[in-house]
Amino acid sequence: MFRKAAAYPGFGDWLALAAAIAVSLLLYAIGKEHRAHAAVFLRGTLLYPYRLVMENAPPRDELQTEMASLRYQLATANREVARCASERVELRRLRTQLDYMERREEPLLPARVLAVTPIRQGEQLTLERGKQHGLYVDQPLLGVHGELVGKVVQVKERESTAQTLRHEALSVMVRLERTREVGLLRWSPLQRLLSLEGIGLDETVFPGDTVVTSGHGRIFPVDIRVGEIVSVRDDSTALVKVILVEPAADFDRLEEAFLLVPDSTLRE
Amino acid sequence: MFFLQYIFLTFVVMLFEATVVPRIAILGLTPDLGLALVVYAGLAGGGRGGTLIGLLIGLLRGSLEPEWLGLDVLLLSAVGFAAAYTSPKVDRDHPVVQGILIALLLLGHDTARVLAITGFSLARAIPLWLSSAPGTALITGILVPTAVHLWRKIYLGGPRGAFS
Repeated sequence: MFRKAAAYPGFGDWLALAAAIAVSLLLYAIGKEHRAHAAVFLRGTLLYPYRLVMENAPPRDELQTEMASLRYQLATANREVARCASERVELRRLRTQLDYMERREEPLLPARVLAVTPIRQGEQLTLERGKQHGLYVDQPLLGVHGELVGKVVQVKERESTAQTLRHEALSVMVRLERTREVGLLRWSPLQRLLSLEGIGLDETVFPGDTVVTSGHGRIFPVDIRVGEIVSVRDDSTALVKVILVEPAADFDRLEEAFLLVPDSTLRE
Repeated sequence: MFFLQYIFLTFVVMLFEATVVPRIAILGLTPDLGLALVVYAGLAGGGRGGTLIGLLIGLLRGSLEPEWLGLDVLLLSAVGFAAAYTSPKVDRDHPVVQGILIALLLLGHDTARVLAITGFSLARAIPLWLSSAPGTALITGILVPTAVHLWRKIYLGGPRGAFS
């Protein structure tokens, strides 16, 4: 709150005004030359803090140039960070693949998935490997963790087409890992899961049981992981169990796959 | 405490006038922050406070323009003294009143200064006065009390207490 205005100035106020007038008259009376000296003195004393700040402050143009340069560096750094994040994800994926390739005894041929084509009967992949890489029809296709993905159905010179397990035309002879019971696995589009057929009512099957390839179809080698049972119920009319299997492969995130290189003993 | 506060503000104002103020020029006219500070010093510190802060700012400004060193000291001291003895009947805490007071004192200050600079030649003084005084008075009278009012409201939680 400001001071209440006094009706009349006090002695101190008049004294201050008189001092100001006296200083003013003195400065006026000393003449131009002395006034210039006084100004220099004042600039060196009263204005010293001000000059100190102003002299140490970088010029405006320099600041603007520096800011533009910093903005550029920030933009470049942000782009670099984004690129590093993407590379980190890729590195993690490649490490997983490398680890799997080293663990597996059979030679594997990695192939980049160029396209995933959902067709009426199911899902097809376009791979960037073809005849010139030694691919052949029915060659098994595995995922990053060694799980079954599908098989090659068409081979061109530089690329090929593969059916995944999510294709109605692909059926696989499989075995329950725990009980060694054999059945036939095929895609069930209504349930969006794999349906395991041919397991008798007297078999003890539980959700969570692992399903692996049996090797009976002579296309896929034995004991390749296919998926996990998610539901089991008895179909009394058909005398078999109705079993649904969740595929082990993550088809929605498939970027690379591995082709099992021809095994002479299996093919013969 | 009052003098320390206002001496600090004086240097802040000098820095502002050299850096920020030229950027907020409207039609080439800029607010006279130094004079506005003298008015606030007069309102808050009474005749002695206003006069002495006017003397300080007059000396600082005059040192940059040695020819009129004494004149600035005299006029700004008078502005501080006059601000302290504005009528007790008006609400001096009100930003509009402060704006009018600043504008009137600035016009008075500029009139006296222009007359002194032109050697009391009305033919030269009037165009010079018209080219800057009314515009500067208007801008200073609007911008400064608004800024002070907002500052007090935001940082001090109300219009009271800033200069008490």
